[in-house]
Amino acid sequence: MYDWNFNVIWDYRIVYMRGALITLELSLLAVVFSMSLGLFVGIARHSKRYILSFPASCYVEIFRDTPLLIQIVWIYYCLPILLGVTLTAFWASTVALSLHMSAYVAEIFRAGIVSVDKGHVDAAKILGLNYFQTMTRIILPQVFRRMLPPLVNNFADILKLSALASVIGVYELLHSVDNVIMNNFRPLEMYSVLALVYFVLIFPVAFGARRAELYFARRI
Amino acid sequence: MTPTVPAIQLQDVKKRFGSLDVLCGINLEVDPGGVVCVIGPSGSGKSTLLRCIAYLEDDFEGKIYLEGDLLGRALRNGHLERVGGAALRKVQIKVGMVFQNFNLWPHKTVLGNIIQALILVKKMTRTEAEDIGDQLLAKVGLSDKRKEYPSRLSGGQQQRVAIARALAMRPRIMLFDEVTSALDAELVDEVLQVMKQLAEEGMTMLVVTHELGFAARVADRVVFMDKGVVIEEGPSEKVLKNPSQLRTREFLSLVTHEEI
Repeated sequence: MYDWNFNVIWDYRIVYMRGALITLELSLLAVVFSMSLGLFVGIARHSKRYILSFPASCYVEIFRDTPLLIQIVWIYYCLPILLGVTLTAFWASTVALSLHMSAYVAEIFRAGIVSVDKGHVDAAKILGLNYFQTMTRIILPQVFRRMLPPLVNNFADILKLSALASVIGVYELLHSVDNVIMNNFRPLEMYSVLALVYFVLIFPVAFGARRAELYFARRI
Repeated sequence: MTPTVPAIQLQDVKKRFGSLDVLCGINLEVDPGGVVCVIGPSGSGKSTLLRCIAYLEDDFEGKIYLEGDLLGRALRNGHLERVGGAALRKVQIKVGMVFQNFNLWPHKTVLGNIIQALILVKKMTRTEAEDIGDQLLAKVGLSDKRKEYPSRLSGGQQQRVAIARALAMRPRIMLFDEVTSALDAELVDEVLQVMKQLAEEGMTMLVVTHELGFAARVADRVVFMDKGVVIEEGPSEKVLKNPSQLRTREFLSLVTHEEI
């Protein structure tokens, strides 16, 4: 029978806190970047102009259909060799996570734009609103409400996927804990608590997504 | 005497969706201040006709003149070329349109729907735009609903807001696309009343409708369309009471439930 000893965990509480901070930092940056980039890619993908929609489609497929782990490793190790651009491990994983998730965000936005009643766009057109005004005043405000739940889910995914940054040595939660285990040889306790910490970070987000969904279901 | 320029003039307008010919060479004129009702079975191209005049369908053949100005096209070296931008806007802005499904923006209040284009397109201040919005809401009898969201209004009220929204841009020509078809029977009258008032004020109107009573009372002329062709056109009294074409007669007896 395994002899559980959770007493050791308390000594490493600062490790968990620092790790959680890096995980949150990485995830929040990825959320901001992937939202901004995804919005543009989504709009481009919806465009009637092939010169915009084709590259956008390629972008989405490339980043959705390859593993994030490989994208992280590729950006960290290959980019310096190919382009001479060297990123720190933290920024390499932030960039990889942002690019990867922006492909999903783009699809969420595209689906949202498609779901807006075409009649609303016709009405805007005939009143003289241009494309930009129609997009920002008529389409996106409706899309944002409907897209909030999937976007918040996306944030939960980003928090979980950020653990992959550990492979290139970013001291986020997983890597920090791994490091400690090599010294205290208490993997079962350390990993169990690690899972709990992720849960504490992600559960409020998932809960918020559910609440947002109910709230907007009632309004529209 | 100078001949009056028609408010709307269509010359051999054709429109196809893929291999389907929806409009097969329409010629039509509407005088300034005239009210013309377009009737015909569903799928006859009535809505497409309005959408071409509103330039919501830009890919048509033939010429559409609005108060003598060519819509969305320019003649260069004897060829018709498409134009966009300011040249298009100058002509397109003459037209206002009201749709079957209202198409109010659900995330904006009643007043917000009306003033949006005044602020963005006519570059008015919010106060100026709200003044105009309030006047128009009074005109359609909905002053007390200015802060409501469209989803809280009845269909008839939503449609009246949609009419006010279109009028805010001061169009010279109003297009109505089956604006009462989505309404419950008891709500139809309040919308028709607003349209009748507009007609009396001298607005040029092209109305696609199934309301033959409205056509008889308000329209100067009636156009009967079928399969993308104008079958018959004339004074409303004549077309509705004593049509010269067999297909017009068949259609009228079908919709008025008389025996053929």
